[in-house]
Amino acid sequence: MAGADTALGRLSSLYMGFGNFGLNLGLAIAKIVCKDFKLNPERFVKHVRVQDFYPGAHFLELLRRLGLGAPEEVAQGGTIDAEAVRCRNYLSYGPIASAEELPYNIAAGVGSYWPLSAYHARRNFARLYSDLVNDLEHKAGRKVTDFNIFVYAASSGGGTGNGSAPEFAGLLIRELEKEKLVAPHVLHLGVTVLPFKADPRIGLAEPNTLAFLGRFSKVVRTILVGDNQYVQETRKTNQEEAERKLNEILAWSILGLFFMNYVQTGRYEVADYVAFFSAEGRSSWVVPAFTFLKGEDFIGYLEKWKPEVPARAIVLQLKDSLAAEINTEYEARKLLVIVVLPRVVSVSWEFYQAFRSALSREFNTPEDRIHIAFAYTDVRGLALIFAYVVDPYIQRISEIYGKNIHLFEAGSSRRKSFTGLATRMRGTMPVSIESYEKELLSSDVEYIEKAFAQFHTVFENYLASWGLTPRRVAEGPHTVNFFLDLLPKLREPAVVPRQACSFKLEVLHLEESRPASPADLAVLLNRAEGLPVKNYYLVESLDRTLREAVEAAHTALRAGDWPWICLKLGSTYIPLTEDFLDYVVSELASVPDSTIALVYFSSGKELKSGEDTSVKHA
Amino acid sequence: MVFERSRLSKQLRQLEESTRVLVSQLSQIDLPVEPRIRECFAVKFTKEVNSELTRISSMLESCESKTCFEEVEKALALFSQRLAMLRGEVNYLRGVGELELRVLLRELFECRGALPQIPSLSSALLHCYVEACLAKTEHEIEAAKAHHQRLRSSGGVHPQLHGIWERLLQREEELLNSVEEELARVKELAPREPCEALRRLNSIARAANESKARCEEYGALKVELFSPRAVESFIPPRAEDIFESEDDVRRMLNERVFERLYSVVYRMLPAEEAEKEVERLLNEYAKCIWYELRR
Repeated sequence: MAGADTALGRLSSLYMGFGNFGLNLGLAIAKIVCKDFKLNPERFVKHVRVQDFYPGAHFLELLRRLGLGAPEEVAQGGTIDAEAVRCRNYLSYGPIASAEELPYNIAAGVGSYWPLSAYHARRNFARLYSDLVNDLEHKAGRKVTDFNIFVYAASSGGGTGNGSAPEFAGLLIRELEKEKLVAPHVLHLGVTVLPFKADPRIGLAEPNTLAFLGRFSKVVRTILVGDNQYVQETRKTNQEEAERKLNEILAWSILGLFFMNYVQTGRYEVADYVAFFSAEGRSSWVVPAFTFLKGEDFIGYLEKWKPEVPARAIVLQLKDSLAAEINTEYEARKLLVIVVLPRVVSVSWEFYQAFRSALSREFNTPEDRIHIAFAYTDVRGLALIFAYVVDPYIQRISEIYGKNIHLFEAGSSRRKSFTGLATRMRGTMPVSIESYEKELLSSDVEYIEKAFAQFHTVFENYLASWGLTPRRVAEGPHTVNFFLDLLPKLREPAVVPRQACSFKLEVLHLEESRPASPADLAVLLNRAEGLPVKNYYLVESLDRTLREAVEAAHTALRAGDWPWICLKLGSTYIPLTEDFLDYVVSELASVPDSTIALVYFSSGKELKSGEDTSVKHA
Repeated sequence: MVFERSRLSKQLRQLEESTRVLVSQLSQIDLPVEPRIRECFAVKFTKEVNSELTRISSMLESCESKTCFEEVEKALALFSQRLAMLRGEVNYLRGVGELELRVLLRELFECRGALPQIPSLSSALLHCYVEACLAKTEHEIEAAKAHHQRLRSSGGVHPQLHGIWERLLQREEELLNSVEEELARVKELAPREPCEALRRLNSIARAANESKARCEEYGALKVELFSPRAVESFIPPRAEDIFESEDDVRRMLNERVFERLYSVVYRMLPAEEAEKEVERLLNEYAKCIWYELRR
């Protein structure tokens, strides 16, 4: 059974993040969709689900700090942050294991011992799945079958996400298959990041990366790969900033796929993505890139310049925004580029050709395997450019493989190596695993070994298209320029943060029947004295409509039936008609001494015009 | 003869004036490159044209024969031609839009071929870019060496651990030396083959940068593992009851220290070698603690 969107062929997505990275990427998506850019969640990722060992309170606190959460009850005189209210139901949290199952306070995660979180995800899948179904229904009013793109995100070098994401994804896919949700009608998209070289446990994080890629590639069709180290090196920044930047690139890259919902003709359906990302019987590894410029600049380029110049400039800018290093000495399999412009413009054939040729040159992809799509929608006046390089030669993965080649070499010492690896992994746990799960202890070495074998198969397949084998991994030089900061810059413009303003908000609960007309309501309110008013402040973005602002306030107050909305100027209430609600907040912000009033009536009965509207409590 | 000298001097003055105008025009172009590349380019350009003028001028001054004047005349004609070409290139740079200039320079610096519109200027610009990259690489190496030197000279290592501490630093020093040697070779190569030099500089700078990062890690490791206090922290009260042999100490270190030490050594060596190296280091470490225990 499919939901309405999926039945219509629209792209409809559920994001599921595992572990710390999964949480951060989920929050980055929520921040873009709900807070910083007014994207319609119905057309992008519809719900963000985070699964971790953290207690739920930690998750809520994190949301609050990021300005994405909202208090459960708003006290009188308090502030209602409209964007946060919108976000609240957009996010949900599910614990991978309950506190009773854990031998200790596992807030620190499972160290690098990913078999433990895999074990919990496998054992608790039935509960995790039913929690997910319930939360989707209560928080988002949706069913699992409403989606056709399932995104699973976890970092590759860690423990929690590394263990649980492939396990959960594999079991969920089986569950969805029971509902007849199968490829090519569904895309299972993985997202992962490679660790920083300065990771304090890099000696485990890197082998864990290979094990993760092996297991993940067995269950999801496509994996978007980002590399923290690469972003830090090329941006010459600290780890936190690099992580934030990479999360931003990945979050936009996920959302980028959904701009194809805004194409008038030739709209992409899931099957198109499934076909595009396919890689002959195995999961494809995709390195995304995302950049943007001012929409008017882009359109100006199209109008004023000979096409080669802007085409090359945009492609270079895009290349600088890759999520991981690709070695362009090796041909990439395919390239998908989605350009989103703020208004419909005619893109000349010359520009299209120049763009394609520049892309082919910079990303080393044959022109006939490059697909360029244009979508039109206004995202704060920006031109957004997304690239998805399918199966490029990812330098870092080969390097990690090369460093750990002894784990793949046949021989009697291999088993010893895996036993050593398992012991070291267990050593990163806050408590001794011996006192915990005996069953896991007896099987983890085998499990780890199997994961590496899976990676080897996938990697062999991946290298085959270049005529390489794992024994002959190219050790070519880095193709990324270390001196990027000395090159002429093709920079992204600064995006002006969304401006917000604060309104006085009055809430009136009247023990009355609902008046029949605005005039009756005006008489009722302006005649009465000592109305039972509760005061709040409403913080709302200037570009939202009054209707959106009121909806957010109404949701936060959980006040029952839809209120009558009034504008209060000085002490006079002016009931607003429906069409007035389409004014944007910035227009109201300029009216001095104005207040938004929400008037609730306790009796659902609607009076006929002219009936007595004297106020009892006056 | 006098007439010839005067005629050629006049031509030379005219060319000097044209050169001044050209240099001034060039200095007004806002090249979208790093200030140091811009400066280098201006200096290089000015020096090159002025040195040619000076050469012709001194030739003219010492001329006594007809053949010599003919030589000067030829040199002036050649210089005039060159100046005309350079004027064309400068005019191109003045006329080209900023976006196009950024793209062109970027492609030039990434060795996608010289720019046909500015053949002479592009070579000077590329050399200046290589010089900036060389300076940056030198800076990276210097920074790594300074870090390394500080680690060497700062002391604070437990006397029994000096051996293994030195071994770690020795490895890093060898690596830095090889990087320096390679840089010297690249410096020689740079004027002739700037693109090959850039390719090799890319690896050198990266290696130096990684060495610097490792030295930072060593600094932290020294406090955590190699200081007398760190050694003390591995010796619990009534240690003689807990540890019966050096093997017991080794086991404890394996649990508590291996991963930390391994993660640093791993960044320098392949995993298998790193593992063996850390095992060797831990053996010596265990000896040190055992020695302290029995003291």
